[in-house]
Amino acid sequence: MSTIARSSAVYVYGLVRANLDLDLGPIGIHEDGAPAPVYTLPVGRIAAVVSARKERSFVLPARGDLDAHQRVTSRTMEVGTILPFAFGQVARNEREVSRFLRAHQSSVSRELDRLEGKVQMGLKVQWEVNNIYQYIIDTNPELAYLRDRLFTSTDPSGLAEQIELGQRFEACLQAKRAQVVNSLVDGLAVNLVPPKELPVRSEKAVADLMFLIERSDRARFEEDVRQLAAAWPPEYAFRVTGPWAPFNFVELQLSGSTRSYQS
Amino acid sequence: MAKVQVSTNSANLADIVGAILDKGIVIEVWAKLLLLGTEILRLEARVVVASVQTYLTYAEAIGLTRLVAAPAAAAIAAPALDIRVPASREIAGHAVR
Repeated sequence: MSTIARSSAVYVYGLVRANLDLDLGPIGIHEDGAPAPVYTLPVGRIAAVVSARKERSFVLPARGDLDAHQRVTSRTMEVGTILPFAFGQVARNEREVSRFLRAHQSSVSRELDRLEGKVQMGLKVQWEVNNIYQYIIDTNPELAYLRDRLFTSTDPSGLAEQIELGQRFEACLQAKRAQVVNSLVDGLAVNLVPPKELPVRSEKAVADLMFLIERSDRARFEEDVRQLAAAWPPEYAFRVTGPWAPFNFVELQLSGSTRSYQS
Repeated sequence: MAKVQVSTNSANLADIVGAILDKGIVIEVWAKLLLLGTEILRLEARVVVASVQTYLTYAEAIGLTRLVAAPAAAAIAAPALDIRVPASREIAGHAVR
């Protein structure tokens, strides 16, 4: 391993307890074309999981580096609790990280206690249909009526009507998604921290939820999803992802120019 | 019965992007160098944003679902929008299957 110069920049993956025995090796963000060695930088009771960078340069969200960030947080989570950082954060040097740790030791420790032994699991639901427009139209006579009126009209100036039809379709999608999300939350989140709802990224996507569970409850969570899905019609496809470090649930009240993103 | 796929331990790129790109702790001073990269990625991601253009795209796609020959005007006694099952629905259902 190369010696880490005190002056080099530092990529930060997350925060752990200082007493966590973490030996991940060279699985970090790429530096000089190879995955950088990951190490911890302890201050008092807490430590940052980091890897060195020559300079404070751009970290583009390339596949390999996104994977590396995810891998480091997941491997850490397998042996302990991590408060994950969002991808792409580079401190000027180790001193800057140490200063940050010293300033926020108590709040970080409290948050590590709160998330102790917990992981987040994703549940994505999608409409498994060939044509989402046809599928929605088939369940909504009003939309079908608007469509027929618009597209059989002899009046060619239909821009406002087209926008209205699109808006109504969008509203219908949103309403259906909300129904599904409510039903999933009711079915799965009993006794759980309320799940986080992430924005969906395609028309066929119905729900993208993140649940915070005890690591030991993972098998039960998957079984609960299977049981729930059994009662749903086949045009819905469920997908479970994870376990993830608690990216969507970490909440740190930090002073200064810091914040914690929540969905 | 809905299908269930368990993709644990093998996350795809979209899962990873959704989970780690802008979630987790953010120290603004440390993260600002990422902004350019994030923007590039978001251009590639297909994020559905409600806009006039989106509505028009939807309308066009919906237009393609209409029946070619039958406007079904007879079945739709406008302005009664509470029609139970429009004639077009059954036929359209077959067409889709």
